[in-house]
Parts: sequence; C-alpha cells; structure tokens
Amino acid sequence: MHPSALHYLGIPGQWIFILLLVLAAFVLLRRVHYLIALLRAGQVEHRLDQLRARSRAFIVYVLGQRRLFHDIPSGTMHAVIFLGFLVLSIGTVEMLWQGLTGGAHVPLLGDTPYLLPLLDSFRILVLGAVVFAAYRRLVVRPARLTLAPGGLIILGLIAGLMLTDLLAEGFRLAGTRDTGWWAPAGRMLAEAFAGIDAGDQQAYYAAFWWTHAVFFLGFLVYLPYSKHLHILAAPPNVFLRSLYPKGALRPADLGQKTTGVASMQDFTWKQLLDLYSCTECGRCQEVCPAHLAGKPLSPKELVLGLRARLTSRAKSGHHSAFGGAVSKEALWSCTTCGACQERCPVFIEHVAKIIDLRRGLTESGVLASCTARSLEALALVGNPQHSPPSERKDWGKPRGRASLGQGQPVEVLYWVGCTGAYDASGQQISTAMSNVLQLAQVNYAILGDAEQCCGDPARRIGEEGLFQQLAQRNIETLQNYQPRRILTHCPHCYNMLKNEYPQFGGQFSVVHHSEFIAELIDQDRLRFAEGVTRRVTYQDPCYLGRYNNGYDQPRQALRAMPTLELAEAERVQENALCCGGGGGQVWLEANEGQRINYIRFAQLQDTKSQIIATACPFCKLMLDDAANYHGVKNRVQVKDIAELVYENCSLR
Amino acid sequence: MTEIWVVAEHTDGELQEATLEMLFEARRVSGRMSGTVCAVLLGHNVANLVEPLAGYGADRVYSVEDPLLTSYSTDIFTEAVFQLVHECSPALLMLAATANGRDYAPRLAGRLRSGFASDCVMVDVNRQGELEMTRATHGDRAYTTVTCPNSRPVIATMRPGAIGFDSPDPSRVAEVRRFQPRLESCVLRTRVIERIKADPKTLDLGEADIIVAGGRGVGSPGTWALLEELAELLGAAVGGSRMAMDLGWIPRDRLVGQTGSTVSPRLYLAAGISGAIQHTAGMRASKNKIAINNEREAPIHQLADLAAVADLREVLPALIEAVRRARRGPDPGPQVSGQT
Repeated sequence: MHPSALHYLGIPGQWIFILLLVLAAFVLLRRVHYLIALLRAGQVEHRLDQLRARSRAFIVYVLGQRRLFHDIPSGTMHAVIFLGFLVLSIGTVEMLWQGLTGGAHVPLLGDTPYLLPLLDSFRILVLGAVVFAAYRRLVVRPARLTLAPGGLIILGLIAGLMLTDLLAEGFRLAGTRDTGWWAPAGRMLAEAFAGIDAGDQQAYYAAFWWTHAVFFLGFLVYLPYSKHLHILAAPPNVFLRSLYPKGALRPADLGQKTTGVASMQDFTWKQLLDLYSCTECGRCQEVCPAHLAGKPLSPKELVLGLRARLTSRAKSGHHSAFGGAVSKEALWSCTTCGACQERCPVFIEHVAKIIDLRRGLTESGVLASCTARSLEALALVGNPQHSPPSERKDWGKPRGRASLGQGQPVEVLYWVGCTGAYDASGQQISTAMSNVLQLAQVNYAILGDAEQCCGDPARRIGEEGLFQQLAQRNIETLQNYQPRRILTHCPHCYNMLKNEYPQFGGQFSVVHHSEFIAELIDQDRLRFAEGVTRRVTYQDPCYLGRYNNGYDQPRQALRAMPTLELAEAERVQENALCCGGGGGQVWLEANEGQRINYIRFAQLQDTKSQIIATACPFCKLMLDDAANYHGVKNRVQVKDIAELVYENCSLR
Repeated sequence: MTEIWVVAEHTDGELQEATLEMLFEARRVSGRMSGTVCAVLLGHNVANLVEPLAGYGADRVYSVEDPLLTSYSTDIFTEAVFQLVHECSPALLMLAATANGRDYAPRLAGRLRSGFASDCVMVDVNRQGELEMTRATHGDRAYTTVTCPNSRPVIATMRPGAIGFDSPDPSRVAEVRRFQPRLESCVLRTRVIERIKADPKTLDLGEADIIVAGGRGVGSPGTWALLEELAELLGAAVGGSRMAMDLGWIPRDRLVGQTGSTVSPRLYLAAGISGAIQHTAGMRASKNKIAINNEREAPIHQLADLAAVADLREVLPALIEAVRRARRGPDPGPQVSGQT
C-alpha cells in the first residue's frame, strides 16, 4: 500500500499530504509574490528583444552551464546537481501525484522501468556531488565562499532528499520483486532489508516516504528565503541578460528627478532580478582586482548587501540604497574592469549597478575631493589633466601634424584623446602612432583643439550630466567633419565613440589602433626589420579586450614583428587583471589596500619579459609607474604597441 | 586732489607683498586720474615702515599709531579706518584680500555705505572717468567689471599675487600725516593672547611659502633625509610625488599633484621628480620652480625656471652647505659670496 493511502490516527494520508502541500505552496507563493512586487517597484527596462540570441544564451549558459566550468571541479559538481534536479523532477512529479491520489502512478511517467535506472543513478550521483560540495565548503574552504549556515542547510536538504528517497525505495522494493534490477541502488538496499519483517518494511517505507515528502516541502519553503532562490531567478536572469554592447552604460535621463540610484526603487527591475539570482559563489570576487588588492570592494558582498537591503522589510527611504549595505569606499574602489560580470555564471551586471550608485552619490554631492578636481577640469577645459585646450595639439607641433579642415576628405581621423595629447607618456604613443601612419602613407588628420575629452572618466565616475555635455559637444564636432573612419589608440575613447556615442545620435565608424595596425600589416603597408629577439608580454586593456573582444589584433601586431617573442602572463584575455587605472581610478586616490598596478606588474614580470606591451595609455601609465616603483625601469620597458611597431618598422 | 588709499598690512615689522602690489596698482591708477597715492599705516611703533611705503610708491602716509592697534582686531581696525575715511574722504580704498582684509573691508563698506568690490585683480579708470574694478569669476575663467558711480569712497579688496610689483625707489619721500583715532569708546570684543608661528612641517602645503618636494629619483631614505634637512634649513614644507608616498617617504597629506594638494608657493624645489602630468598639475602654478633630476629628458626640466641635470647625492649636500654659509652672512674671506 502506498503511504498516502494509509490512515494516520484515523486521518487519510492523502488528506495530510494535501494539507502539507497547500501550506508549503502558500508560504512559497506568498514569498514569491512579495519578491515579484519588489521587482515591479523597480524602473522600466526592456529585455525581451532578440529572442533568438536569448534562447541561445539560455541553452549555452543555463542548460550547458558554460560559465560554471571555469572552475572544473565545482562546475562539474554543480552540473551534476543541476542535471539531477532536472531528471529527478520526474520522480518529484510522481511523488506529488501519488501523494495526491493515494498511490496512483502518473500516466506514461511513473512506474516505467526504463526511467528507474536513470533516477536511481542520479540519486547516487547527486549524493556524491553533495558530499563533495560539503567537503569543499567545510574542509577546502575556497576564499570565494563564505562559510555560512545557508549553504550547509541546502546541502543537508538535498542529501536528505536523496537519502530518504533511496531508503523509501529500498523498503518499497523489499516487499516486492516486480522491478527486478531496473533500480540497482534501490534493489541493493531492498536485498539488505530483506530480513526485516514485512510489516516493519511497510512502516519504514511509509516513514521514509513521508520524510522525503517533508524534506521536499521544506525545501520549497526554504528556497525563496535562501541563496537557492537562484533556482527560480537565475534561468530567467540569463535569458534576460544584457545584449547591449558590453561597454555601453545605460544613459540616464537627465530630466528625471534622479539620474542615479538613491533608493532601491531607482534600480530597474532587471537589476533587482540580478540580486535574486546571486548564488553567492564568489567567482566575481575571485577575479576582482580591487578585492585582490585588499580594497573595500567585493562584487559578491555588493550584490548580497543590496539584496539584503531590498528584501528586508525596512521601509527604504532616500539614500537607503546604502544604509550600511554598500559603502562609498567600496563604490569608489571599482575600476569598472568588468571581470566580475564576465565571470558571473548567472550574468549579474555589477558594473552598471556600481555606476548607478556612483551617479546617486555624485548627485548628492558625495565625491572624493581629487575626483572633484578632475571633474571640474573636464567641465572647464575639456580634459581631466587641467591643461589648456589651446595646447592640445602641441605634442604634434615639432612634426607639423595637420589639423583637419571641414569637409576635407581623409582616410582616417585620428582621435588623439587627452592622455595622448597632454601626458608625456601618452604623447609618446600619439607621436609613434602618427609616425606609423606616415610610414604607411595613411592620409589622416587630427581635430586639434576642437577635440575634447570623450567623457569616459566623467561617466564612469558617475557625473552623467557632465558626460552627456561632453559627448554632445564632441558628436557635434565630429558630425561637422563627417569622418569616414575614426582611429584612436585609447580603448576608453574607442569604447565611448563606438558603443556609447550612438546613444546620443553619434554613429561613427571607429577603429582601435591595434585593429588598424593589424590591417596595415595585412595589407603589407608595414614591414618589420629583423634583429635581436626580445621577449615581450602583453597586458590586455579591459576596454579593448573584455568590453570589445579585441584580444587578437594586438597580439597579431606583436607576433608580426620578428624581433619580438610573445610570452603570455597569467590571467590574460577574458580573465586579464586590470592595470588599476579604469573607471576614473587614475583620478582617484584610494588609501586602502595595495596598488593594483603594482600587483599586475609583478604578474607580468613573472614572464621574464624585457618589454611589457599594451594598447592603452592608462595601462601604460599605470604599469610604467609600477616599473618605477619596483625600481626596474632600466630593465623592463612599458610600451604601447604603436611605439613597438614604429621602432621595429623597416621603412623607417 | 583725489586720494587713492592703500591700507598697508605688515607682519613682524615687514610690509606684506600684497601691500606692495596694491601700491603698484595705486600708482598706475593715480597716473590715469592725477591722484595722490596714500598709504594708511596702522599699528604701534611702526614708523620704520614709512620709508619702504614711500619707496614702493606712496606720496603720503597716514600714520595711525595706537597701542590698541598692536595686533589685529576686527572692531578696532574697522573703527580706526572708518574715522580716518570720515576725515579725509578718499576716492578709493584698497585693502588686501587676506584673512584680515576680507574680514573688515566689508564691515567698513557697510559702515560707510559705500560701494564694494571683493577679490579684485585690477583697478582702472574707464572712459567716463569712473573707477572700474575687475574681479575673476567662474573659477577664474571669466572676468566681471564693477563700477560704483554713486558711491565715495569705493572699497576694493585686492587678490594677493594677482598684480606684481616693481623694485622700490629709495629716493622717494612721502609726506607723513599723523592721525589719532578716538578708540576709547570702542568695545574690544576679541583680544590676541598669543601668536603661534606655523611649523612648516605641519603647515598645510597649500599655505607653505617654500616647498621642497621629492620623488622616486631621491632613491634612498638616506638621500631623503638630506632633502628634509634642506627643507628644515629653508623653513620649507616637505612634499612629494605619488611615488614618494607609495615608498612611504611622505604621508598622504603631503602629496602634491592631481590627486593630492594643488600648491603655488614662492619656491618649489622638485628633487628626483620626473614631472608626470599627474604631479605637475599640482605645482604648475608655483612662482619659482627648481628641478633637480639626473635624467636629461625628464619633463620636469621643461617646466622649471632653473633645471639641474645632476645627481641629488651631490647637489643636496652642496646646497645645504651653501644655505648654511649664506645664513652665517657673507664669508669674510676672499672666497665667493654666500649666494646660491
């Protein structure tokens, strides 16, 4: 007899089961309803376009668990539990059905012998995965995981589910012979229990079936209060992932009462769904340069802090996004390198949230004083260096670089950028690049003093108004000249012009110098001299690599030079460690922790290279600073690829 | 004849540069409106200052001496100048936009119901023959001009450092008029108990007159000690680049540059600093810049008024010795004078 068909103290088991199920469903639905209501309070955002790309993402990243496999052991563990969850839900449906009907099988699903080995083996596999997970949590204790009761409760519940399921099956089968060895684990247990009195077998069967049911219902109730909410939230979150260009931040409507986030409701509903999706796996924290350097930021803690803030019933008033949940210092520590969101298995978008919170801070006047100075310079003179606009083209004076006249047709418009124009180290890049252009006989021009800061530092610091002002001015200027193609050596300018200016009507064809140099090499417009080989390693700039997939072209350029031998450092490409200069960090002065550039420099130096090549003026500045700090400037040169290309060019 | 007044400020028996600048400006204005430049000298036992006031351009000195004027107090100074203005009725009254000037100039203007322009960088006479004050606004990116046609006198505070001045003409003599204000009835609400001179070591970098700053090129703590010794001798504040901060040679609040303090001392000595824009953005405005760096191509040399391509370990001890010698006075021997 099925346990739910029995009577307990005269009450039919079926009724008890229905009562428990209704109770659990009530608690679950009430909580889910509450969580959805919180989402609905967020701002509007449209995430249902490009259904094909979304479906593909769902298949690869949810069903395929792609991003979990960056960590193979724990990824495999998760995949087993995830697959087990999918497969065993067949068993769950059967269990629910039997409980409701007093033991009837689900048509076509229950009691089909060929399903039994599948269910049976997944019970064992999941049990094994849970043991491994517990071992990791309790013994290995990777730094990215926080040892908290939540994770262990979940593991206990899953283990309990599996064990009670197996034991119930064992006792059920002990009384019969009908399934044979279709359920090997169940059959083995059944053989072991064969000696037990038949009446007791039935009692044990009932006991374990009910415990299994209670574990299951308990799981339902606990789920929406725990990190296991990700079972419900993560799959839609991946489906609804951002399909904007990765490097583009959401433009803020300056007409709104706030451009940033001052309270939780200022986030969009999707940003809030992100918070529900977090599994606390800490992969983001593991790759975060700020966290690595001991600065007060962990992307994981940021998300958890915001989630706690959101779901706690405390009435959230003005500025309550912070209220201890996220510190200003944490927000100012971010380099916006994007490593966290590149790694996140459930596609949480950390950087956009940090910028939104910075916008909120900036709007309420909370700024680091040094940042304020750079922003002031941007507003007054159009560059963060506080340099006179009239001196913007002085770097090219000795070489007679031509400014662009209106309507003058040129192959490319070279956008020099503020660092390239004003900073001695940046000027070396712009000089080298313009020399390369001349060698390759590229017809080009620069804007001269008509160029202003692209607005990247302002936007990343959170001064959206100032950014939009700069962007609009530049777009107007550029539209007057109607360049066929804009070339820039700065990944920040590149990302801005390519991905963010279209938000304000500036559609331009933009090319990064790494790409352009690779083209020139392909077209045989540049040739390189032979000579003594030197070892070079390459630093991936975040805004070229992670944000714009520019991993190959700079390496192509380096490999094309016979005198260079490329040695890759640890953490490259998608996983590259930021130089520490992005997101306005060049203009910030965080006191806490180590300097990210010093750490990164040491990693790059491990390749024993004589040259550290990069393709970003900020990377160059930061790493050069680090070379100076480590006192190895005479042994290790930090150079932009343009400088290396020019030095090695045989046409020179 | 139209009188243009300059209220002189002095400390430790010496006129402040701001006062010299105002005299220079007053001379220029008086030339355009055939006026007399008058200095107002407030204090006690300050007769020795009449001569330099004349040298720097005063035709007449109103000497207001009273024990109560020994040190600055808002009430007494306002009252004294108020009484004097009442007596003589000048066309223009210039005060330095220093802490004291900013404090009592507006009070005077209120008391006299006169026109007032603060923090001016220039005074001129326009076509209508009116006085026209120029002040910087919008973070010094724009200028506004102010005229006060219906008011006499016009009061202006002048921004120190905005004008500049010539060397004095020792042959000039000024007529001295004494004035005894009645200050007995004046209620003294504040009293100076003690004056404590700021220690350059703790003085805010922004206020330091001389800054000796070091960077990575200083090389070792031993050489850094030399740099500190030189600073001590010069009464200078010690600053540094970010590299000096990272190497632990200076604390965070001694950092000069884009992410630290922006300074404009009379003298900025950059030792072993390469001159990256992050640093120079903070010291560009210094009046005199000396750079010592052994790398010829270091960008700091281009910015410096005096650039030395030299090893600090040689230059610093020599410099210290030279300053010591200069302090002792000119050498009695036939050797070089103690100039550095």
